Amino acid sequence: MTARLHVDVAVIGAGPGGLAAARAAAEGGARVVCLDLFAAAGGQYHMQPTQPESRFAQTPQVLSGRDAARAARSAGVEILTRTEVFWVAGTEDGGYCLSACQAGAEALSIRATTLVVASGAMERPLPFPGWTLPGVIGAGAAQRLLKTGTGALPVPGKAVLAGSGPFLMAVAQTFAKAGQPLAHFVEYRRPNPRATARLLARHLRKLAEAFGLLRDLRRSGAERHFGHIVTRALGKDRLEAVEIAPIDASGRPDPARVQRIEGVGTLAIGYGFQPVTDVTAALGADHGFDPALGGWHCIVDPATGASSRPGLYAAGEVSGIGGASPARLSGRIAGSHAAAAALGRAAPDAAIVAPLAAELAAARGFARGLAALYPPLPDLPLDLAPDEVLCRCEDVTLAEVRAAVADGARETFAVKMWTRAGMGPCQGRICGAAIAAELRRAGTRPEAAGFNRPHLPLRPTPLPVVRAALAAERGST
Amino acid sequence: MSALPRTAEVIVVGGGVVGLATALALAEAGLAPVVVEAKSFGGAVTGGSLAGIGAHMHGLPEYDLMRAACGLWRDLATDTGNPFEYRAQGQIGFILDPRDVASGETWVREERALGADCRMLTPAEASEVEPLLTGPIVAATFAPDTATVNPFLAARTLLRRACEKGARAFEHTPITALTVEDDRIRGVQTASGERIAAAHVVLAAGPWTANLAAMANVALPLVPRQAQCLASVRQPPDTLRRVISAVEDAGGVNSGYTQIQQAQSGQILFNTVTAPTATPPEAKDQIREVPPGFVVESIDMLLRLFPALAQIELLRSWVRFEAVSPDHRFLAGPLPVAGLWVCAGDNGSGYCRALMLGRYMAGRIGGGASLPDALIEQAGRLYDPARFGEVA
Amino acid sequence: MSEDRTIGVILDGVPSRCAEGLPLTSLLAARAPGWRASPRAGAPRGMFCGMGLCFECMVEVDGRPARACLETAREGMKIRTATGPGAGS
Repeated sequence: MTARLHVDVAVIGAGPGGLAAARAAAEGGARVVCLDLFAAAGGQYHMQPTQPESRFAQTPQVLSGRDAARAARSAGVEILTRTEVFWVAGTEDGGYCLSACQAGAEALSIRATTLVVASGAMERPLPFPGWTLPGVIGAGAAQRLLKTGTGALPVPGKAVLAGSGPFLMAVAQTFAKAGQPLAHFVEYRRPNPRATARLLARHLRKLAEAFGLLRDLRRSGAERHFGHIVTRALGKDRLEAVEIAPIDASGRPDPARVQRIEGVGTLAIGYGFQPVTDVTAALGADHGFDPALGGWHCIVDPATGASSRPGLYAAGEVSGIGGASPARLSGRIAGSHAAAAALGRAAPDAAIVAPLAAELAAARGFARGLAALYPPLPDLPLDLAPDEVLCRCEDVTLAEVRAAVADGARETFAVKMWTRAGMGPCQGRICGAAIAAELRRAGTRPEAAGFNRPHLPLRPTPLPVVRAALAAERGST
Repeated sequence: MSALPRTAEVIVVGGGVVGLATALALAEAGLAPVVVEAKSFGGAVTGGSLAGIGAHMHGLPEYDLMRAACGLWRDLATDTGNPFEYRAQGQIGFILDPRDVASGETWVREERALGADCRMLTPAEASEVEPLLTGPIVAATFAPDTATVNPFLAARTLLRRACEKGARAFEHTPITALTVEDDRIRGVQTASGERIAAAHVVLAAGPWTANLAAMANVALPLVPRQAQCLASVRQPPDTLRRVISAVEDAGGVNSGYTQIQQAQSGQILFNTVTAPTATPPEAKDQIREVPPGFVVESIDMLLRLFPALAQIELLRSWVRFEAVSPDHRFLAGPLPVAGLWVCAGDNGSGYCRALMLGRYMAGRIGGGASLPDALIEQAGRLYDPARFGEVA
Repeated sequence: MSEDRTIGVILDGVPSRCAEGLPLTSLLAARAPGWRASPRAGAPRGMFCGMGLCFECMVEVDGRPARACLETAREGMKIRTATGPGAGS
């Protein structure tokens, strides 16, 4: 039996942006449902521990997430967790119909007058030699293991944290708070104290957070390697060792000064984030490409959160990477406007929304400043062997991608047709950036390379669930 | 990529399987064609195709041409080392309604009379040939020589081979005008304003062909028809062994169809349409998503035939637009503007015919002997673009 | 972890105990960080993105395909790994 819901506003994602949007929409008088893939609301930022004795049970991020979810529920929001939206379509009356899978097995069909997408971000995966070895994980994945599990990394051996950007320090902080040893911290950029001080002087509220991150990076006990990059992960069936090298003036690793770290069980890699745009792209909203915003993102009017498509709003990372503060603010703005539009009211009270827009501009300004301190890495910063896998789902190698480009593939879609890169379960989310980098080598700009346009289903979904949700949408069984 | 040439002997408009096969045959005949494709090679109806290579249930008048077409694919696989996953899996035509058994028996009897190796199967025999086919079928046809190819890789192979033999191909090069002077084609103009002069222009752009022909004031009876397909996540090899299709009755695809097969990647591809609806002409430039009703029908048919697949996951879906002609055959041959040719009208099964049609076109344009005379005569009769009367 | 909160699961046919609600990625990675074979090369793979998007951590939970990073341990849960076509099953 397919569950059906009819709401004024549907919000996809229950992270900082989604919860703020859902609450604002409910406070605006709308009937609101907020959907999230994970078992607990909060998203990656407010990640909730699964174990009551976790050291993270009482951290500010966890508590504030719990508060945000509670506040949304008090405002009347129905939060549905373990709910994955696998399709969204426009309806004839200008609204939206969402098809979702609950707990991996149950169909849910939702009619909404307006829709707020706050689907968040994923890590920007940059392939490097050995990146497919088990034990090599995303920095966010390491954080999840530490925060939600027993508080310990499950794989024995040293932990190495590598990549670039402020999030790397946040993960080091998680190691420190978990009391988990972190052996090495490898950051591509060198510290830029003067520029950092200038940025913080303009955003004094961030000062305490910044000092906390620095303190906890030291407290983690990690050997710190700034201006370094992981050049290789080594091992047979699992990660055993990691090689790192200093970055030379050209931004490339110096092969003469490679250092090997033995006995590594976990290598957590984080090179920044990219927006998860599958819902907004499937609905055909306008998207733009800006490396400082994580690449492809949904274009919105910052004053309203409205996308180019009527009734479709986007909040938080999906409209450009910026972190939790812009997510919350843009969520409140988008939720207020989505509710007003759904209820056929005039725009929400300017006295409430205008100050939010000013705050959002300031928060976005800080995010832009941070992005300037940590410019995104060059595409494929390391030379890869021809047999290195770019598309993990389909085991497509660099050599195969290059052969397709040599045969005339000039866009992401063409590479996908000829190599299967992007045709597997992740639908190109993981390999997209690397494929774009290879196309750029051949002279195609990322804007022209495009991205894999999402189609039904946005995520692999059991046939009976797909059938039940779509049949409910048609009003039949 | 090199710049567009100023002149060419022949321009092929359309870089799908039909255009590329035509270009390959022209190149083999020494005519050094230039292919212009509006988007990516093989990215439209070609890439969305299930690329069945077989003569079973395609009609008797075209049977010899279809057999030849199938043979050309088999030969190409042999000659190239088969980089495009040519596999002779065999085809099962399932019958769910006892009233349709006679239709299946007629297909088998008539094709056998022409030398085919097909036969009828009982439900028990069918589940021996296809172990997971445990649904309530009453009988089935079986054509053991039906094959499939990977539609993307086959197009890529044709492109590469054509270029090796002297063709030049340009993607993302849409055509905005055909230059006609004194009732004779003089060349084409691209969206970026460049002109290529040529004595011959072949329109092989599937459902967009009629729009192109209209640029030369030629009206072609080709209309787009939306078709679509679903794919599951990878399943173990040999989950499905054959191409599974519904036995077509006299109404052909207009009375609905089903095709199910497992790609070499392991994904199960399936589609069912029981009541096709009309496709508006502009849909081919707008619609990108499968209709929910199609998804429901396709899942129902798959699980009715293969109950064991009930827990597999859907991975993706896609829409393609086929070019449909009034008699469900290709339009291949000259148009009333001298030097202007057409090769389009896949009617949903163009992949199989592409190499045969390419040879036919190259023979007509270049004058060489590209197919046996008897087949050229048949093709000239069956595919004549003027067979529906005045087209200009 | 407190004794009263452990539960029993069946991991690849072997009864095991772990904390209730433990993410399956933690449970599986503690045994070995790779538990799946990639489709063509048959190379070992395990958790990668940890947030439900890369599908590298696929397992079978109670007969259904599932992402280990989205699942938490429940009493009686049956978990099967290496069910992919590349596993040579």
